[in-house]
Amino acid sequence: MLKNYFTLALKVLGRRKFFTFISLFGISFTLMILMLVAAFWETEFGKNPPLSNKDKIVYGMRCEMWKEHYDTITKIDTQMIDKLMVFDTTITTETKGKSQSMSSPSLHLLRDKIGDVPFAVNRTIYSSRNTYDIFNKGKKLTFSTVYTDPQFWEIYDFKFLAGKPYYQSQFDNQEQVAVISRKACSEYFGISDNYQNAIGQTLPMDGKSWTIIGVLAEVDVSAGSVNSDVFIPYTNMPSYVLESKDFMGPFIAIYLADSPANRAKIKSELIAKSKVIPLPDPDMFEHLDLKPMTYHEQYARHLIYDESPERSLKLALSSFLVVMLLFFLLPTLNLINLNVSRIMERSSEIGVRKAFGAHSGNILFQFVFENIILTVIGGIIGFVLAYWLIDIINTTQFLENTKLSFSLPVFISSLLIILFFGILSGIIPAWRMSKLQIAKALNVNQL
Amino acid sequence: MLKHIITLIWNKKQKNFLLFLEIFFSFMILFVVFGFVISNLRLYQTPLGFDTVNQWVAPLSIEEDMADSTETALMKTRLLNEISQMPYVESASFGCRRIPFRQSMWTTGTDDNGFELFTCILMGDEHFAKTRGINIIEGRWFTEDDKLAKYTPVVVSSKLIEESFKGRKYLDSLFVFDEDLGDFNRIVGVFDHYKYWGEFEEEWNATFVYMPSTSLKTILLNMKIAENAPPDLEEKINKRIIEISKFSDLTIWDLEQRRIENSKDTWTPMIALMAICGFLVINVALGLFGVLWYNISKRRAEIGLRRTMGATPGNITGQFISEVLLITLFAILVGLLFAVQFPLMEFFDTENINYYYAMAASAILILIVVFVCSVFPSSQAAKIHPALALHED
Repeated sequence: MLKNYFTLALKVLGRRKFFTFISLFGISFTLMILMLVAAFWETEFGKNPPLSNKDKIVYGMRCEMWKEHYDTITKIDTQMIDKLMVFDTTITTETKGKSQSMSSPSLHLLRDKIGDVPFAVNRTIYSSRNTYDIFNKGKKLTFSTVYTDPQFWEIYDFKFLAGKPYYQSQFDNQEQVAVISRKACSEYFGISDNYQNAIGQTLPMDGKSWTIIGVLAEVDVSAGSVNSDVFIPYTNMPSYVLESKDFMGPFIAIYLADSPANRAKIKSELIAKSKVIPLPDPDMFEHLDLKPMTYHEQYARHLIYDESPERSLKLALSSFLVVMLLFFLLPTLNLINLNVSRIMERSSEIGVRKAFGAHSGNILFQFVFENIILTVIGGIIGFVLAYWLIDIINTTQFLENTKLSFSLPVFISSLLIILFFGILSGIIPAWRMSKLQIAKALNVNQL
Repeated sequence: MLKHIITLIWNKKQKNFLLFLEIFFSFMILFVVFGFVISNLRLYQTPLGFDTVNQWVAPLSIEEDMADSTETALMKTRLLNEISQMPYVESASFGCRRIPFRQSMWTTGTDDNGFELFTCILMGDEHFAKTRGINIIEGRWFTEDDKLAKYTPVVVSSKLIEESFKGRKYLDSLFVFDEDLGDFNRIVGVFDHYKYWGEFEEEWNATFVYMPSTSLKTILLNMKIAENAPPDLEEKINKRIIEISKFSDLTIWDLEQRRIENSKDTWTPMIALMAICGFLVINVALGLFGVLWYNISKRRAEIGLRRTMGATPGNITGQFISEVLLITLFAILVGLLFAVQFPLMEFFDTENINYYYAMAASAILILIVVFVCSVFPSSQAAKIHPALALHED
C-alpha cells in the first residue's frame, strides 16, 4: 500500500514540474534556515566544552550600589483661630533622585566579603578581558588576556592540545606561566600542528615574559571570556588591583551548582548576602545589589537589556518564538495555498477511489503521505544547502568566533521540523479533499 | 465594475481567504524588517562628525587616585611633545577616557540655569579638535590661553544648542553644567556633530570641557597619523609610549578598525534579516504566481464566454489583475491597522517617521510583487481564443 502511494506521489510530482519546483523551492529554503537556526542554537546553548557545565553555573558579574536622595519639605500653615495664631506644620519627605553606580565586582567583594556560598560546589574568580599589543617581527598582534584562579580550569572543561593548566601551587607562588589559545599559538609562535613545541617557550607581554604551559583547542562559542588568547594566574595582577578595598572592580565570579535546580538557591543566597554586607562608604552609597544570573540570562541580557536578568530572558525567548513562528507561518501558508489549488486537479481520482469504497481517512492519509514525501525531498535539499551555508559562514567568519556545526541533536531536530512541516501543510487541503462528495468529485469535467 | 469584482471575490471567499492571509503576514513581516533596516540606515546616514581613518588612540592606565600628580603631569607633557614630534605623526592630543564606539558615557543634567540642560560630558585639550577632525561651526576651539581662564571653557554640539539654548545668547556666556566642572563654564564655540557611540546610534548632544594635557582626567592619547606611514610606525610609537610612561600594558586602537567592528554588530543581523526576507518574498511571489496561474486556467470557460460577448483581451487582463490587487489592498489595509499600533504604542525606541517609511516601503513592494505575478497569468488568459475555450465544455 505504502509502496503504491510512494510511486503515485513521485508520478504526481513529475507531472507538474513547475509546481513541484515552486513547492520544493519554498520547502528547501525554509528548512535550510530552520536547520541553520538549530545549528546556531546547538553551538550557543548545547553542552559543548569548555561550557559543558553551562546549565549549572551562576554568574556573579554585576553589582550595583545605590542611594536615594530625599528632599524634606517643611510646610507651615498659619491660621488665626480665636484670635490666636495656630501653626500647622507638615513635614514630608519625598525621593528626589537616585544615584547609582553599576560595574563588575572587585576581588575584595567576591573573595573576602561574599566568600563561599552554600549550595555552590565550586567557585572561580577571574578578571574581565584586558588587551595587550604584542609585536612579532613587525606585525602587531592584539591579545586579549584573562587573569584567573586555578579553579577556572575545573569549571570550564577546556580541551588542551598540549600541556596542562596551572595548579594552586603555581598560582600561590605567582609563577609567570600562561595558557594560550590555538590561534595565539599559531599567530605568535607560528606553530600550527605540533603544539607540544610551544610548551616552555616564552611570550613577552605587559613588560614581563610568560612561560607557555598549555595550548587550548579552538572554542566555538561567542561567550567572551573563554574566547581569550592568553590565560594567566591572577596573582600576577598589579597589587593595587588585588588589594583594592573598593567593591567595584574588574572581576567575575562563577558558582557551580551540583544540579540545575540548585542555581536558584545560589542566586537567592547571593542576593541575601549582598543585603547584609556593610558598605565601604555609606555616605556615597547605602545599598548593594548583586545581580546573579544564569548562563541563559546573561546571554539574553546582551540581546535585550532589562534591569532584571530573569525578565531579559523571558523577553528574549518570547521575541525569538514570535519571530520564528512568523517566519514559519508564511512558507506554510504559501504551501497550503499551493496544495489547495493543486489538489483540485485530482478530484476525479478521489471520486473514483471513494466510489470504490475508500474511506475519508484513507484519502486523508494518502495526501498527507504524499506531502511528507515532498517535504522529505525538500528537506534533503535544504539539508545539503544548510551544510554548504554553514561551511561558508564558518570560513568567512560571518558570526565572528561562533562556529556552527552539525551534530546529532541538530539532525534530529531538523528531522522533526521536516515531519511537522509536511503534516501541517498537507493536512488542511487533504482534509478538504477527503470531505468531497463522490458525485461532485466525479462531476468535474476532465476525467 | 468594482461591485462586480467584489462579488466575484466574495463568491470564492474560502480560496481568497488563504491568499489574503498570506499577503497580510508578508506585509507584517516586511513591515517589521523594513522598520529595523530603515531606522538603522537613516541613523547611518547622519554624519559621525570626526575622522576614523589614520586615527590611533592609546588609553594610559592612569588611576586618578593613585597617581603622583606632579610626576604624571610632567610625564604627560613629555609624552605629548615627543609623540607629536615623531615623523608621520601629524598631531597628538589628550582626551577623556571615552573611546569612540565603546558606548560609555558621563551625562549630567541641571536646571540651575533656569532651563533644562542635559548633556554628555567629554574632555579634550587644545589639540583635540585638530587631531580628531572635529568641525567648529561657531566660535572657536580651546587655546593655550584657556589654561588661565577663570571659568573652564566648553565647546558644545549644535544638537545641544538646538535642545537647550535656542533663542538664548550662548556664545561667550556663562552657564552651570555640573558641580564637578566648577561653578560656571563659558561656552566658547559650537561644533557640528560628534556621534561617538557608533554609526548606528542616535547622536547624543555633547559638551567638550577643556582639560589641559597635564590633567589626570584625560588619559586617552589621540594621534593623527600620516597617510603614508610605514608599517613599523606602530611598534615604534608603542615602544616610545611605554618608555616614557612606564605603563607596560598598552594597546593602541585604530579607530577605523573599531568603527568597522562596531558596525558589524548591526550589519550582521541586518544582512541576515534582509536575506531571509528576500527569500520569503521570492517564495511568496512564486507561490502566488503558481496559484494565480492555476486558478485562472480553471476559469477558461468564463473567459471564453466573456470574449464571445465582446470583451477585449485588455478587459480580461484588467479584470483578473484588479481582482488580485483588490484582495492585496484589503490585506494591506488590515496590516496597516496593526502596523499603526507600533508608532502609537511606541514599541521600539525609534523615531515615528521610520514606521511610516516602513509601511510605505512594504506596501509598495507587496503591490509590485503581486502585480508582476498576476500580469503574466492574466495576459495568458486573455490570449485564449473564445472558440477554443468554449469548445472544451
